[in-house]
Amino acid sequence: MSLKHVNAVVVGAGAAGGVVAKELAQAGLSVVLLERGPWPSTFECRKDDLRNQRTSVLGHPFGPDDERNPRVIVDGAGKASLVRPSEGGYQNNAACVGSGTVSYGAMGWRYMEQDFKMRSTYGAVPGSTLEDWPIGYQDLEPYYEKAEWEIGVSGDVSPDPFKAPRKKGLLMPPLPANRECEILRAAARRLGWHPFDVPMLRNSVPYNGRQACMRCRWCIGHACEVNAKNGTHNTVIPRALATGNCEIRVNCHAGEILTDSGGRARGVAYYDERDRLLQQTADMVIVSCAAIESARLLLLSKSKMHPQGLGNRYDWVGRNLQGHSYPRVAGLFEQEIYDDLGPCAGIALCDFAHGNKGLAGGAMMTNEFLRSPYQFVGKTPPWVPRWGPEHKRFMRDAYRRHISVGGPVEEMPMWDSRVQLDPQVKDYWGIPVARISGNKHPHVVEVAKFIVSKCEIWLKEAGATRTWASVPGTAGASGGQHQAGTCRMGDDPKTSVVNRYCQVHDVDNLFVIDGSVHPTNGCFNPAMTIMAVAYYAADHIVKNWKGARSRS
Amino acid sequence: MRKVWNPKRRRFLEAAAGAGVAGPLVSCSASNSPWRYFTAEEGETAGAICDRLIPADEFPGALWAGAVRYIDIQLCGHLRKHREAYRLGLAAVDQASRSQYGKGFAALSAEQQDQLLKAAEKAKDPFFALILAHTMQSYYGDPRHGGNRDGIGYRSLGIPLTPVRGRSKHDLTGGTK
Repeated sequence: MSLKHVNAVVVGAGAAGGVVAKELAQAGLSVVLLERGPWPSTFECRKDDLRNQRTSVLGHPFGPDDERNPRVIVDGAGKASLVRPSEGGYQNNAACVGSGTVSYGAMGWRYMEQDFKMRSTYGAVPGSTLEDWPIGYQDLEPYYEKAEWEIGVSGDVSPDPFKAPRKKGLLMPPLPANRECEILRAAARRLGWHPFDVPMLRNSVPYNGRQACMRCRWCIGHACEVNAKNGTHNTVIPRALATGNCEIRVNCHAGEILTDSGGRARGVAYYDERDRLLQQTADMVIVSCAAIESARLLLLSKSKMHPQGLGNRYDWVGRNLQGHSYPRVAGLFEQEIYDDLGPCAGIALCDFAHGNKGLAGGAMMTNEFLRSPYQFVGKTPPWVPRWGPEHKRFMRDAYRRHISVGGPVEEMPMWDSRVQLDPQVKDYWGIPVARISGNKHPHVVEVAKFIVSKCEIWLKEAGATRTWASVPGTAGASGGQHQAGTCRMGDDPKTSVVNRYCQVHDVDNLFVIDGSVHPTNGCFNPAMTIMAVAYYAADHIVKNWKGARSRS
Repeated sequence: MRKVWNPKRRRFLEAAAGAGVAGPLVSCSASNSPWRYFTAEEGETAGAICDRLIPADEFPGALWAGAVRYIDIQLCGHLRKHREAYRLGLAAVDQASRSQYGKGFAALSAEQQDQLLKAAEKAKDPFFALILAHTMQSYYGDPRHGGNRDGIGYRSLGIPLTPVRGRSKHDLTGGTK
């Protein structure tokens, strides 16, 4: 069964897909936006420390559904196992309108200039496919600005001397600091570092018709109870729909990008919520399913002209899967820290993001988001037993007196860290699932250890009596909510999947627009960059659109 | 919100089990058991284990806080896939207890129980890791799932029950309390 032809079909209503749908619809193109999940509902906004996108021991409210969407994960030792979305290692990203932007912590970072030219800044790193982006920070600057204003960002980055040049300051002021932020800010200043208020995709004052943050600390893993957190579900997607040019179809599961005999994209085949197989034809197809599912969809779309899948002529689709490696240090204080007040992560510094001697890259450092009691259970120090009276007493003594800091270490892309189609396992719809394998680069651990040393200095200066660290190892592929890299952007079709405008090299009406295109993933949370790239790529599409436009 | 603990629903499930039309939800316990999944003996062994993992001190232990209830409810819910692990794991704990001390785990002294648990931890017994994680979830996680009775896990840390602030008017934007 086929449906009315449109100008563009966008697969995935997350950070990127929402932006692209809105930009195209506003420019007068007819758009169908397909989303595998439902609209998030207020019922799912409840705070539950065992059932959320971050701690999903009892499942997760924003999907994807555990029964229908398995993956095969190959661990560091080469053992493959079937993993459900709420289980560890799945590398999950929410399946709902807005996707991760509903349940993220909502840091709204711009990458630094060096993040776009890692290779030319640090040179080749043996064992890594490290490469520069074909575009630079200055190409994205206007689009970062647009994202900040259309989605909405609060904070104050003006004290950060390392930030890339920006035309405007942040839109909304930061929230008042809580006790933890004040302690850390003062300590960092005493050390001669440059702390500042984290840019957050969150209203600190009423904006866009929605209220200000109520400072509850529960951003991460949860939806905002008062709708003060900004994602694509409550900003650009409603605006896209309001143009009358965009139709969103939820609970629709894309299975293949259809091509014509000439190899060009002609639409998407998908299962709707009643499991009917439908075909939506379009002048162009935009894939915005995040790094793992975007790669999977391209690989699934095999045809005579594209026998290895779309964009995969040179075997680059699905490779270089990255996320971030997160070292963390916790410190125990004599005084009480806990004041039950947001912002949770609120203070950051970029003194060790780049330019660390002998190291390629670094990390932005910030305090940790909400630590629920159950999360703290697993993060007790090595000198405390894992159970029994001593553990119980430590929980009581330490919970209100600890601070945890850390940061996302920029990863070195790895050729063998990849997404493939599993030869055996299929999902509910009978479609081969993603098989994720590979390991992280050892240099990432070195950088993480360096960041740990700085976190320890920070916490000790702040008054911590004891500290304990956790450093992730190299085993297993990375990804998670920060997943990126699987459809690399580049000028050379032989060493990348899309060109500098996110256009698949050999299919001119097929675009991949999401974190997949990042050659490297910055030392920051990537959501804002994904949005900025989406504005940038959509602008290119609109400027080059020669077809008809409907009035909006 | 506490739908899972609705006595009417329980009666229905028991009736369904008795009538032999049990769906996957009620492949449950023998009729003399107070639990959904566990037999009475399993419940007792599980409770004894949980109560050593989080023993009573100034604050009640895991048993009082509803650890067994949490695990039992969740074994009929999201943790369904661990059913077999519990059936075998609890039997193995009792077996080890009987062969070493001549009686079931629940009848041992606290010291003897700790000895067995430490041995299981040292041997990296996956069932030990499982019941440890679930006990911690029951004590320190949201009470709506069957554990953390009266919010004792939260109260022992000095924090309030999870607030539902979005439904009442709060202005907390002015600064710290």
